Amino acid sequence: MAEGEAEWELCKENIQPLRRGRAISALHQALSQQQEGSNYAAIQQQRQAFESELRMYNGDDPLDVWDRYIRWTQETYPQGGKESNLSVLLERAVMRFVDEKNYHNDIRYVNLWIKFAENSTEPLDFYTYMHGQGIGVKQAAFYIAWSEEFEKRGNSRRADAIYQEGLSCGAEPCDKLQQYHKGFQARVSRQVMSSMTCGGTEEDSPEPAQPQRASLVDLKHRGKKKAIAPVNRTGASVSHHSRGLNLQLPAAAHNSQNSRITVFDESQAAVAESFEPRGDQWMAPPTARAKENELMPEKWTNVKMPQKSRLGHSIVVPPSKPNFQPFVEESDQPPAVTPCKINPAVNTVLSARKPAKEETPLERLQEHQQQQVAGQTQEQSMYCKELLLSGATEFCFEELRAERYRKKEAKELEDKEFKLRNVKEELWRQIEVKQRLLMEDSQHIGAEHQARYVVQSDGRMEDCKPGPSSSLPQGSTSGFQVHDESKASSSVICQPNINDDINTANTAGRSEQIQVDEAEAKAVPFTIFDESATEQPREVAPAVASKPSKARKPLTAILKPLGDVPAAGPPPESDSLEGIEPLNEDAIIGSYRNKTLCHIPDDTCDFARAAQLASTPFSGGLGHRPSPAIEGGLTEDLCALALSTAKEVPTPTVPQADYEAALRVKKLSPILEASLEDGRCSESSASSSSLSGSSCVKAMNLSSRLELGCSEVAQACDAPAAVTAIEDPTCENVRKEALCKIDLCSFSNFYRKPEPLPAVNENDTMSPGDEAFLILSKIISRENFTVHFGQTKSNENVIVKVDHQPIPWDFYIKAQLRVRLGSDSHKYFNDQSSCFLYEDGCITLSWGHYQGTLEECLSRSPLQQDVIALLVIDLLELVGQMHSCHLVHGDLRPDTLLLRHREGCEEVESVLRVLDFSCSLDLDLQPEVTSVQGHPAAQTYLKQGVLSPSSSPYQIDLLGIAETVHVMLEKRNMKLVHIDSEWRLADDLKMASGNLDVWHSFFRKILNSGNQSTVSVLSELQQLVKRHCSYDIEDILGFIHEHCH
Amino acid sequence: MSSTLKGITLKGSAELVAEFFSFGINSILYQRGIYPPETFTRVTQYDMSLYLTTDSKLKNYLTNVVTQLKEWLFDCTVQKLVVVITCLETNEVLERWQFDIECDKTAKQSSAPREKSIKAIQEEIRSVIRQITATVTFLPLLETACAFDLLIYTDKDLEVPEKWEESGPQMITDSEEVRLRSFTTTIHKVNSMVAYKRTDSM
Repeated sequence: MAEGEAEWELCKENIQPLRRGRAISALHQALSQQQEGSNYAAIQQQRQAFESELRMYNGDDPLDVWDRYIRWTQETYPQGGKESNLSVLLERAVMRFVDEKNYHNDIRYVNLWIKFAENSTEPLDFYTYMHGQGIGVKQAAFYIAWSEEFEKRGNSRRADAIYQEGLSCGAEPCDKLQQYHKGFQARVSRQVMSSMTCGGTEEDSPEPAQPQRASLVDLKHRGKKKAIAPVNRTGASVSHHSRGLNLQLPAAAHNSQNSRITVFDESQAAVAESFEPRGDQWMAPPTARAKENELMPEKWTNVKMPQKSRLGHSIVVPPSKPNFQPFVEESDQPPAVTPCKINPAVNTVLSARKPAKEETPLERLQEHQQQQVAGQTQEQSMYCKELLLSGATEFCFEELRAERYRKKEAKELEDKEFKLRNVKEELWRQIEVKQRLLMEDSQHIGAEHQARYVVQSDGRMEDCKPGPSSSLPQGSTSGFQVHDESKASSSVICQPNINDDINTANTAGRSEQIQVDEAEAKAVPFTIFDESATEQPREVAPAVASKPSKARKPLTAILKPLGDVPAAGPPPESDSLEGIEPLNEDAIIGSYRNKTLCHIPDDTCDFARAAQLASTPFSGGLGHRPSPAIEGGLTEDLCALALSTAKEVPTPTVPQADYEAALRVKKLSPILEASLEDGRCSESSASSSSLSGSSCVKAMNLSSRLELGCSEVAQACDAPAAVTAIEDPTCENVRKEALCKIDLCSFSNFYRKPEPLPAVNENDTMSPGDEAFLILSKIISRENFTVHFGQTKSNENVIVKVDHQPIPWDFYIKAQLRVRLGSDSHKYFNDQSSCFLYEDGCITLSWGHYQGTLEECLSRSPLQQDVIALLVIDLLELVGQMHSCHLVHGDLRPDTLLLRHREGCEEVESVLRVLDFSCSLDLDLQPEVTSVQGHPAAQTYLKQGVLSPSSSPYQIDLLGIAETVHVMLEKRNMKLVHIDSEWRLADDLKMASGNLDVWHSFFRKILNSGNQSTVSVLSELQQLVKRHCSYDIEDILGFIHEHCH
Repeated sequence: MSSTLKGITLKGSAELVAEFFSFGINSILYQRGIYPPETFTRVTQYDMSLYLTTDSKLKNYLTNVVTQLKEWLFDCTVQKLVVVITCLETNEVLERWQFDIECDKTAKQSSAPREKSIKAIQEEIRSVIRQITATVTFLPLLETACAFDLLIYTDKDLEVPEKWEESGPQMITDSEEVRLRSFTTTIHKVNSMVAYKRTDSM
């Protein structure tokens, strides 16, 4: 047998048996660790881990940690002993939960108590205490342990009583208790039987009598006999049978000691029986004196000198000790120390000291409880004492701090990740909303001219335009830029509004007047006073009165009269205006043309604040008073203003704070922003030039109402466009819906991963699939996706597109290209790609030997004409291929195009590749998309008028090509002008060389393609460029290659 | 069988091994408390004190088994002897003491005695029995009343004698296994092992 396996045997005396047994592997480990001593650190580390877990645990079952800790200790220190710290641990654990009633009948806790009791000298005290406290009274284990303790001491009557009580208390598990009870009864009856028969067959008794103590004594006397010793189990782990035998001894001893003594004599003749009487004596003596007398002769027969000293001790000790002490010692002590080596004299000494020492845990426990009951506030530590001392060892503050710090760090990291993800999503959502607004906005541009017309025809409206502009100097620039931009369009809506406004002004004024407390109406906020201003507040005031958050009621009061006029009933959406409800149609319509805000979605608050600054005498509560002004006309107004200037000083602070808070709450509401303009709209109808920013902001609630009326009008005339154009065909929801129809998993290289999107950082390696690669740099970074440039081990490049939406659109488009184009796709779309769809995003990879984006190449140095021509031809062909299979790229720019290395390309392959398909459309899959409207890339063109809302989506790509070509040629963005019903470049091409005419005709054609099919336009253009630019492909490619490196 | 003999024959070996099992099984039964300790008596064997049952029925049973075993040992047809300890109530196997017996079948042909003194063999046997005793250090306490069963694995073609019946292996699920020492008479080699059920309750 291997040495290692016999290890446990060599140490068998030093291994405390456990009821549940030991795992041999753990035992081996523990023993080998002890021998080597090398793993001391490892054990300490583990212990430390448990200790800190004890302190840091914040789950709902703190006992679990203790339980595991104690089990671990038992396994790790099979011999027990001081270094195991087991008794301390048990004591702490037991004390810790003594007040927690819900643990009192937890089997683990009860077991801890039992262990604790068994480790002490007076287990019975503990059991009594437990019983008193109600700990374990529902657990069979408790009664069994208690009863066994009595049984050990020979008190079978009490032992039986304990079983009875346990059964009557309904301790669980009942059958276990009954089984033990039966076993106990069997033992007792056997004892009785044997003691009855014993009289005649005394010779047989030595054998049953030996087991417990005999071996140890034997060892003491005769070293050679050691082999016999391990035959017997001792201590708590003795099976009930042997325990029954022990019982026999004391029981018999109590009754008739003398008869026992005769037994010794007889057996002493035998080989190893001499010790037996000693065992008996240990157990027996009822009084100390009797013990002395008996001990004497025993010693002498053994001819052991040291025992004399024991005599001396025993003479000293007994008087102070109760009779039972030696008795206790006998049954309890054996497992603790290897008794064979201990001089009996020492034994008595130990037994004398121990009770005093061991009583303390219980005493301490009681003290602790009493303290708690008596006066909890007697002493209060101002530091986290409990934490420092709560384990078995003491912690220092730094350890705790370190532990907390580590925990915090880990948690923070997690949180951060989570938050970032959320914020990103939220931002994206908002941006989407803005984009939709923008779209809406542009939709109304068409109506502008007409609106302006009407506005100007109305004499009072003359100030409409100057209004916002004159307010410019007053406001902070950022705030008023918004005004400015929307100014033009604001007038659009004025048209239907004008009449309403007039009406509203009157009706609202009237109704307001009725409602408003006149006394309040004294502070008018406007320091700047001119004629137009006097009129303006009338209009605005009712709205001003209402703080955004509370504004509802006064507003609805206004609304009703308004609603009557344009035959659009009172908008039922009044509630919807409160929050962000981007998908609500009314909200969208109501909040149109908010261009600027779209770009700075967070800016509303700033704007509002700026506006507030702009109008010095701002006060949140001033709203109600302008109504008298309406009635009273100019002079009254003047008076009111004078008053207001006087009064405005004390009032503002509180309402302002209120107001700001309200603003902040609604910070990002698109409706708010929208209404902003509308406020202006109504203002302008009132022809006020000095409209202050604050009043404008204030007015927004009102105006949003106003606008609802007019927007319905607008809708009436423009209904079809409004409905179809709202949705952005590239937005998340649309695509999700579209992809629902398709089983993505059927594509090769598509993998679903049920996990969150991994972080992608520069200089990190990542391996979503089998292959690992290094992320080198970030090429594109947008709100909802990033594109990284990476490299595999085989020096191939990888384009890693990380989408933060779980929509594998890029992958889908690429796959479609390959499917629909068949072998034609080799030229531009043959890169190997794969996609990993995560819970909250997806990663699309494509492999190839890339040089970088076209933009990067351009930034290094200008391209030669020939090269440009080649690239343009390729680009035209590429787009032509896409269009031919009903795919629209949607966002062609130099930074969404890639250049490949020449080598590794086959002859047919082009160097040009598409990097990103984020804005792409699949018109087969999305047949509902019939125009450019809604497409984010089309918005600027729509605004410029290059594209009309009814243009086909393919047109976007033409403009994208134009833009790209222009950048390639001129290194700047294209500017367009509309001359002679034709779109032209605003600036002439400034190329030093090359065929200018070709490019001019190129641009003319591509910008004015009209309704011609894009595929044919593209091929015509291709022909055009090819015809005029001769080139040698090899040369050019070679050039590109060296150029870009 | 005299201890003065230097060599060992097949017959002697079979007897020695059978004797070992007789004492070994008794030891286990005593150790593990399958029978009340009062029903055991002490004898000195292999230079140490061992316990033998005084229960006549048990004695009879064991003698029968050992006699049969001796025959098989002599025929070199026995492969294993297993002491299975089961819970009386649930019939669950709690412990399984397995003794693998390797027979050197060549000893059947050549009757020449092998060279190994009885003393040396007994020394080995002693250490095995000691180890069996020492297993209390890790074996779980048998808390319920238990019964035991003896299984003997023999070669396949063997006729099942009267009083014997075929049985399953009675393995323990989730067991922990510990190899114990082995001894050899050069003709029979006995490897011992104990498997026990791991209990997680205290």
